[in-house]
Formats: sequence, structure tokens, C-alpha cells
Amino acid sequence: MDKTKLLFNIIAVPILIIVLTVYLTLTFTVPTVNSEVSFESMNINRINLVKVRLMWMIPVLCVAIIVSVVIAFVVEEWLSTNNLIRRIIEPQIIILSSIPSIVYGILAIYYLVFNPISSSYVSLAFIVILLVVPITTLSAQNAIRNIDISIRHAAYAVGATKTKVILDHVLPLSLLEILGGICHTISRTLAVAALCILVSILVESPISGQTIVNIVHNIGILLLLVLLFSIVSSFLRKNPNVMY
Amino acid sequence: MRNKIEIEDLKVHYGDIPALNGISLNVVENEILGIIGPAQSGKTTLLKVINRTLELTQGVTIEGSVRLDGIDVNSIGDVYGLRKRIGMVLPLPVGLPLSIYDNVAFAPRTSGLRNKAELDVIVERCLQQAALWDEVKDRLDSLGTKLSGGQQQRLTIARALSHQPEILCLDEFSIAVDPITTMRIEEVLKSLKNEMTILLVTNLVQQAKRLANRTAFMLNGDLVEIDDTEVIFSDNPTQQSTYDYINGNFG
Repeated sequence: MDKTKLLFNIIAVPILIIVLTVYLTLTFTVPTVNSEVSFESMNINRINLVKVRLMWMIPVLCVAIIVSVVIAFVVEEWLSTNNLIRRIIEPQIIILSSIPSIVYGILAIYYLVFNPISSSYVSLAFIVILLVVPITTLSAQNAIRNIDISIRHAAYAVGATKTKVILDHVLPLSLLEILGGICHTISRTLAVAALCILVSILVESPISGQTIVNIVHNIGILLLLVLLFSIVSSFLRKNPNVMY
Repeated sequence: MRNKIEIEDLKVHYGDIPALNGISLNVVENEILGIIGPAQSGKTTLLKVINRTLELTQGVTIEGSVRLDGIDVNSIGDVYGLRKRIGMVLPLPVGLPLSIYDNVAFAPRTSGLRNKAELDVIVERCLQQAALWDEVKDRLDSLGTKLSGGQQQRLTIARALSHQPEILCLDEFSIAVDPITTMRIEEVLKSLKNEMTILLVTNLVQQAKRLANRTAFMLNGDLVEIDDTEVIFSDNPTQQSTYDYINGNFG
């Protein structure tokens, strides 16, 4: 790969994604000048707004996970290592997946907690996508690569089509490891959600004692889920072939 | 007897590394062709070119022609259909992550056969031919990957026979199989010769001597010699290197 392409891969595409995110954020914002004024005039509880918006991100999370797995299969099974599209996509996935979750967390806090009215669902969806797609795709790719090539060859040798090989052998064998990666991603996303709610408490004032109890309860549940998904993830990734 | 496979000036490179250096040979219908030679001589590559599974390896270049029943295999659009005509047994046992029954029924199902009674007959026949039926007939629903290495290899043979191929390529099939079972499978191969053409790649020269009608000796990607097995294993093969290899002077 020459230096220009390398530079393009390393710098340009992530910048493009960020620029696109910012652009969409600005484009789809609700035209309010001062969010604090709006809160008071519209009598909106910031914490509830954050929670509602987080709930709306669940479908985005599900779609992002499905898309990630599909990307992984397309890249691994249909695009050869010399394919231009693969050579562009793969470095981006690796770069984006190496960005710590806290970066996305800060981005989410900025939009969700500090600018909950002026920010749009689209911008939040982009944050979720950036948080979910690279890691899920990368882990799914690794799971697919871990399938012994001889299994594919054995199936091809008896005349199986590519689709049949993928559906009958590659997918079942890699499924647990893929699920492990998905659990890992969900764990990270829930941790970011918990962080957003926590920060929203700190920002909101005054706040009643009962509300604090409810929020702490919510955060506790989220953190328990984070722990649970992490444990399941590490189990599945360490025992990818427990079914076979 | 007509030629089933005609190979002409076949050259294969893995990147820059040559694997086959322009070999030409014919395989006669319903014969067992033994292919012997030391490691890295291109035997497995030759088999993979015939059923076009070598295409699955990246960075491979193939030149020359391989004709099956007079048709260049590279011109065949339906590569999956081509592979169904050629059974392949790889050196190390590869049990598909399916039950024993499903392993054998996989190829017929791929061809569209869904009738349970017909599948039952095929599974039983193939497992018997592979000398595995008696050991697994009561646990056909068990995972194929849970069988021992030798049993998995016989399961691989059963799977290769399940779609009744015109050509059977055996690549070191007995490497993980005990001698007694090997002898039983060899007997089956002798009987199968009437139904299909068999290419037998083996490091066991005595196995080629027992089974093959003709034997080819390959060395470093070259076809050194191909002749009747009696000639190859006589004291006077055409090439000295053939004699030396068979008699253990090298290799």
C-alpha cells in the first residue's frame, strides 16, 4: 500500500466520520438558543429526558449490532485481502475500535446531558454506531477467522455453495464468539449510559431525595448488567466451541 | 479405455514459489492412479487443481489445462457442480460440526435430496464402505467431531462417497487410520474402481503398489515418471530417482 493510501486510511476516513457526525448534529438540531431557558419554559426534567433518549437508542444498538455482524461476514467471506473496499474498511474498523469508550462517553455526555434539547437523535445514534460497529465488527471478524480453514475446504469439496458453508458451518461455529463480542459491546454501551445518567444527576439541581434514590437504583441495575455482560462475554470468548 | 482426466502443461505458483512445473498426464476412466513422491512435490496441489478447491487459496496462479471428460474444468461455470462430481478426502480428518448422520447426508442434501428413507440408505451404504457402520450405527446422532481421529477420517471417506462421485481423490487417507482398517478400506477401493476413477496420493509406496493400476512419481513439482505400477515398482523403472525413492535411498 503506498503512502497516500495509508495516509487516507489512517486519517481521512475517521475525520470524515467525525465531520459527518458534527454536520448531522448541526443540521438536525432543534432550533433553541438556550437550553436552560427551554428547560424552565418547557418544564422538562433533564434526567427523564436523558433516560428517554437512552431508551430510544436501544433499537439503534440492535440495528448497529446486526449491521456489524453482516459487515464482518461480507468482509471476511466475500472480499479478498487484496480487495480495495476491504483495504479501506479494515483499517478504519481497527482505528475506530481502538478509541477508548470514554471518548464516546464524553461525546454522549456533551450531547445528551449538556445539550439534551438542542442535540438530535441522529447525533446520538451516530455516537452509538461509532461505539458499537467497530468493536462488534472486529470481534466478529476474529471469530470468523478462527474457524479452521479445513472445515470450509471439506464442505466446499463436497460441492457446498459459499452460502451453505457460511450458514451451516462458519456461522454455527463462530456464533458463540460473535455473541461474546456483542456482549462486550453491550457492556461498554451500558457503561456509557450509566455514566450519562450519573452526570445528569450532578448537573440537575435542585433534586429530590426520592429522585436520587430512583436514579441510583437505575445506575445500580445498569452497572450490574455491565458486569453480567462482561462475564458472559469473557466466558463465550474463552470457550468459543463449547457447543462442539 | 478413455481418458477421464487430461492434464496438460499444468503450472502452479503459490505467490512466487512454484508448486507444479508444467506437468502433463492422463488419468484413464475406472483406474486407480497412485501418486507418490516426497513432501513438497505437488501431489496435493495437483488434486486441488482438479476439483478447483485450490482457488480458495489466495495468491495462487494456475496455468495450463485440466480437462474432465474433455471439458476444461476452468471453463465450467458451476464450480459447485464440478466439485460434486469429485470426492475429496484430505490428509487430516475433518469432521464437519454436525452429527455423524448429517456429516454423511450433507452432500446429498446439498444436491437437493430431502427424502429421509433415501438418505438413510445412502448414510448406511457410505458408512459401511468406509468401514465405520458397525462402530457408529447406534449413535448416528452424536457429533462427528467427537469421534476418534481414525473414525473421523473414515467419516470423511464416507462423506466423500456420499454423493457418488465420478472421481475419488484420496490424499493420504490412511495417515490417521490403523493398518487393519486401512486394509478394509483398500478392499472397498478396489471394488469402487468399477464405479469411479480413483486418484490415490500416498506416502506409503507399498499402498500404491497394492492398489494402483498405474503410478506416477512426482518430485519437486515435476512429474518424473508415470507408468504401470508393475514397471514403477520393478528393478528397472525409467528414471533412477524413481527407483531410489521407492527403495528408500532418499525421500
